[in-house]
Amino acid sequence: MSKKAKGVISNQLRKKRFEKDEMTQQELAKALGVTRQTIAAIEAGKYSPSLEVAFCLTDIFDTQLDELFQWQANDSDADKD
Amino acid sequence: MIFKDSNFSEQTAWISVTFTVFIAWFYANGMTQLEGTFSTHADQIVGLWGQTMLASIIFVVIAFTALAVIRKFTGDDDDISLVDERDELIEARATRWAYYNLSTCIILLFVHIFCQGVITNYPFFPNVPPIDFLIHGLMLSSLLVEFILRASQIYRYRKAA
Repeated sequence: MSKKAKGVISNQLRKKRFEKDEMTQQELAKALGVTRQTIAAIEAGKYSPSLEVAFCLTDIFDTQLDELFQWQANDSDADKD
Repeated sequence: MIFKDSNFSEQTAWISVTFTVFIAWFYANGMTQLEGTFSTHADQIVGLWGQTMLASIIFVVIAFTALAVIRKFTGDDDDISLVDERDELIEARATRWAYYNLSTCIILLFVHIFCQGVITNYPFFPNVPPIDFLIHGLMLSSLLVEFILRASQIYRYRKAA
């Protein structure tokens, strides 16, 4: 039986930025070493970052990964053999 | 504004798309002025390659100088990272799509040459010798593939903008 990972990843990045002294996307991009457009794409849910970037984000915001990113599985697809 | 919301990789992709259209026009225009074939007038084709190379260098220098000035003006040149993991992922996906197109173009070129050799009254480009067809075909195919690669990149950037 195989499980195909299908679902939606949402995130609290924008909220966390504002909680951290209204950090700008540009400042976060500089801290992470990525472009501002990548931060915008992550916030909009149009790009899922690598685990390395995700863990760097948890370090920057001093939080847990599941507080920053949430996984909503699509059950109808996930249960297919 | 597209330029303001784009990063360095997308901006260079726009330049490459414009570049391929310009060079394809330049090369096609030069092809129409060629007299004879490669076997009789090789010097003309080599001259066209030289002119195309020179035009490419001039275009690239002007385009990237303009890009550097615009990035300085908009304050984008203080970005620490010009290319990140998202850019690499988008380029990898676009490259896969471009590779399929390159393979198709090369197969079509060789199928044409094969058909021209074995089929009498073959209707496509009957007066163009195989070597000439291959030379110009490879040149235009490489431009087409570069166009597809960069246009595909731009599409993915705009989709996720």
